[in-house]
Amino acid sequence: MKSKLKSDNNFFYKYLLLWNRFKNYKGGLIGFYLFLVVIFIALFVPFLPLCDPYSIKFQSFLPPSFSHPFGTDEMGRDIFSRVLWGSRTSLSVGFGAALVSSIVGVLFGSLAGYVGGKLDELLSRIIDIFLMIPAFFLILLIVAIYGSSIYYVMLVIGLTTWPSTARIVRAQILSLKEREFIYAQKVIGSSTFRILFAHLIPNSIQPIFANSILQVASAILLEAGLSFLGLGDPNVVSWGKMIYSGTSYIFTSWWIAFFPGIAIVVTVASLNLIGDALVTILSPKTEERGAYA
Amino acid sequence: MSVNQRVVETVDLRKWYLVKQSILGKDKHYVKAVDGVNLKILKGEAVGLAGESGSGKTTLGKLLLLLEEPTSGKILFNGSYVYDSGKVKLRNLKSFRKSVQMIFQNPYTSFDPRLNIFENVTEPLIVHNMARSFEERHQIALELLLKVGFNQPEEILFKYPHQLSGGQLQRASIARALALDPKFLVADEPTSMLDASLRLEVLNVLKSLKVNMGLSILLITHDLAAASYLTDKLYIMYLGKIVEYGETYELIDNPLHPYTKILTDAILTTRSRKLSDLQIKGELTPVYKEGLCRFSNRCPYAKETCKNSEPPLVEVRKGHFVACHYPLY
Amino acid sequence: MNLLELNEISVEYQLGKNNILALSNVSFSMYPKEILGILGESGSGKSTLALTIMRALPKNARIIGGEVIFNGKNLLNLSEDELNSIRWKEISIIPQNSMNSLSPVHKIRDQLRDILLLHEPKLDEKEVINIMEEKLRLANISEDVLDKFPHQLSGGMRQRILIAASLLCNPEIIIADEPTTGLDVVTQYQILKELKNLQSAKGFSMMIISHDISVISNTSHRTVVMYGGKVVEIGPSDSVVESPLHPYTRMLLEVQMEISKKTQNELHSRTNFNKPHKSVGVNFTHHSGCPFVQRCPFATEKCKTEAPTLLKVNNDHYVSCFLFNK
Ligand SMILES: Nc1ncnc2c1ncn2[C@@H]1O[C@H](COP(=O)(O)OP(=O)(O)OP(=O)(O)O)[C@@H](O)[C@H]1O
Ligand SMILES: Nc1ncnc2c1ncn2[C@@H]1O[C@H](COP(=O)(O)OP(=O)(O)O)[C@@H](O)[C@H]1O
Ligand code: SF4
Ligand code: SF4
Ligand SMILES: [Mg+2]
Ligand SMILES: [Mg+2]
Repeated sequence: MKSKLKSDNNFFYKYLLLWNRFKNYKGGLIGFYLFLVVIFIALFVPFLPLCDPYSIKFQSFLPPSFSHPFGTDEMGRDIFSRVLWGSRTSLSVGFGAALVSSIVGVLFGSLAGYVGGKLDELLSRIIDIFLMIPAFFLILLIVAIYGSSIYYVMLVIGLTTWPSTARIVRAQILSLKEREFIYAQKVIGSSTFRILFAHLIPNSIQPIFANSILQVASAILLEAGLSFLGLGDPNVVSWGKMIYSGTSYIFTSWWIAFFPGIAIVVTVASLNLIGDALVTILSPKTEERGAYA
Repeated sequence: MSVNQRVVETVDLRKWYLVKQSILGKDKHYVKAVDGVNLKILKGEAVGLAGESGSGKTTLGKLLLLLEEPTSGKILFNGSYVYDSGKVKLRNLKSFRKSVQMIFQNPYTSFDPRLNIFENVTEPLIVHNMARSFEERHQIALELLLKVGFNQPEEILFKYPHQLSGGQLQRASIARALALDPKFLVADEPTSMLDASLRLEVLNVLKSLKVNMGLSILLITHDLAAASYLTDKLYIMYLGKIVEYGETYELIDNPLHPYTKILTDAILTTRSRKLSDLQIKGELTPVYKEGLCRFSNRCPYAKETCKNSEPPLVEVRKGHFVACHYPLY
Repeated sequence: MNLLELNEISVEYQLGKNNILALSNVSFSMYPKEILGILGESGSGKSTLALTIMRALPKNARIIGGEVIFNGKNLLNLSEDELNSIRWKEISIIPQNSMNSLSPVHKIRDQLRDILLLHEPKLDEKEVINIMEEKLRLANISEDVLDKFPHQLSGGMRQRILIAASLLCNPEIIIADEPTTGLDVVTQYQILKELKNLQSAKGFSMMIISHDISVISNTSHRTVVMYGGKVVEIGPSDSVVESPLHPYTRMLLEVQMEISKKTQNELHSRTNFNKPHKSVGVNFTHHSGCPFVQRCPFATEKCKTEAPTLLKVNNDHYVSCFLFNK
């Protein structure tokens, strides 16, 4: 059992190494700390001494002050509290949509890459078509027709953004499946299912992971965009919606739209910084060529 | 069980790959990677398969394991058909997989990089539901690694593939192949990616398996020195055909086919150090025409006959077969 | 007269917090019109040596000390511009792993032309084509390959194209890093023979890097044996294989596989196949002592703590081992 421990140590060691490399990317590191703050807020906001984000007991249009750091909005709600609560909506939509998108993308991409032939052609066509249609308008259409509960928004964003994941997975699988260790798996009699799920997909997970982080960011933006157009879930606090209502008063009470805007920028930027650093670290090394010429 | 039990046998085995030459698909050309090969491997015998790059050695190896489907021919394993003209005869492919194994040319890409040596080596046991508990697998892994010459297997058991040397990895890949207790092992150029000083290490392991466990081995190589170290019989392959076959030393000491002669001449030794001219022209290029010796465009002894008729593989001495109109007596 | 002189070169790679000393005080020189063989197992620092001379080391590498003297100039002090007048024109390289050295999406013609124009920008199209065709002929390959993509060519042809590329600017020194590793025996033989003929016809100097003692002994005039980032033996190739001095060189000769039945039987009796020898990788963290100490049958306590230095044993034959350090 002692030896098993050793292998687990090794596992952690691998991630330690990853972290060591990640640390060298300043941008990524800044993004990481910023995002840690956002996550902390989202997790602990119910326990923070804040006023109720829905309560309309305050005066409307109060500018930022000591008791209302971000001011109050047109209905007299505390913007500081609403911005903090809004992080929950944004993050859940972001992660939920990225999860859906990753699962669907991995499934389709790996099937196309591994099975190949006609199926690959068909799936690649579908992927191309999806990539051509601007996802936002598709989402807009669907949400406008079918309604806009937050879970629905999550699902719809996820189901329209999977093709980019699928494309990355397909390329990964294509290059991995000719590796000798996959042949070795066939020789020992592994089933296609096992080869796919125990070897090919886990070995392509790192670039997928980096891509998924970036998708969280774009899903947050999409949700904000939907809410901004008035198509968000009316029952939750959302940064997009806050900006939407704030724009009417932008010249008189700038703070209504400004603070949720900052929140979106910080969250999305931190995710993008992390994602970009991860892409450089995790994507398969491109061959160095012509170093001498 | 007789001593001369045939473990693997092929009859007129072919694998043709279609290469489209024109867009209209009129001129269909086939690369005849394996073209009518009869091969026979006895129990406990090591057989060499030698030839230049592109002569079809790997393809033949993959056919024997049914990793590729043959175009035609028959494959027998332990006397019963596993493939017979167009049909895989196996009711249970998984159990066939247990008895034949392969090790690959590049040890560095032969392992799942995410898994450590222990997990990689015991993967076959999991696939075949053979050892369920961790302790059992741990024990088996240690035994397997001992068998392939790791005196302290614990030292490497939980390392990752990139932390081992090529020679260590190649031996670990032999250990993985042995996990299912196979009867037949195909080793595809197991030493060509390794440093000269590590080659012997791997060949010695294969040799001890053959001698001590009665494993039958097909050693695919282009290096006759390696083949002569391990094998009892030798097949020389050129463009999909066997051009010479016999006891290893009979072939190496008295090569009858001009191509075999060249393969022996091309071996560098620290003794001669002269690099005299090789009697061969150009490089291996597929020949699409029929009815000629496939080696005739490079052969130093080629005559008119060679361009007009294809030499059959005939027994010229006891157990020594050659396919050449003008063998080098 | 030395053409190229390496003095006390040390190079390290930075890997996280650890440093790997890939070359440690490497010194030797190259004579005009000679083939110098660099022999050593993988990881012994051969490629690092080639890249140091070319000043093409990866970013995480650092030259800790030493100098590379070529034509009276220390290459390690030159600016990028000065270097460009030397790279390829005076010293060129046939890189290791020819498979990945050519771009898969460009025709051979474009790739060769790019290299040539980079170093000789004033050439017109006609001259470029003439030079490319001439060099391809020298490398024993037909001009037809100019219009092909790398994947349409065999390993041997790709290697010959890289040889032609290294000849483009008529350099004085060509460094061939493992020029035949991964090729089959017939192609290996032909390419080595062609390199050797080319060298004696054109009279440039060549450095051939290999892990295979038979490749080196069949081509080179002198041999440098490396182990663990250090030079352990230098001598005329004939003496190195006929009367090897360093225990590592002797080990390499012992595990040579040869084809005659007699030597094979000797090999069997020497190496008892039932007990494969324990192979130990090179240990780079071990800085003091002889690099070969873990595998050396003659190692003593002294070898663990003190590092031997390169000493002349007889004319032009040097070794770094306490067995000869009386
Ligand atoms: N999937 C394929 N499709 C088309 N042609 C193929 C395929 N696989 C192999 N070939 C061709 O079949 C011939 C034999 O290939 P094979 O890989 O068996 O050679 P080999 O003797 O193992 O060579 P090497 O020494 O380089 O490993 C070659 O001409 C090759 O290009
Ligand atoms: N880019 C690199 N980063 C870190 N270590 C390296 C790098 N390149 C080579 N090394 C290490 O330096 C040592 C010498 O490598 P190399 O010069 O490639 O040896 P050789 O060519 O003799 O096989 C090895 O331990 C190798 O792992
Ligand atoms: S048949 Fe003719 S061409 Fe073919 S190998 Fe024999 S002599 Fe050479
Ligand atoms: S110095 Fe010592 S350890 Fe090194 S090679 Fe000589 S005897 Fe062996
Ligand atoms: Mg092959
Ligand atoms: Mg190298």
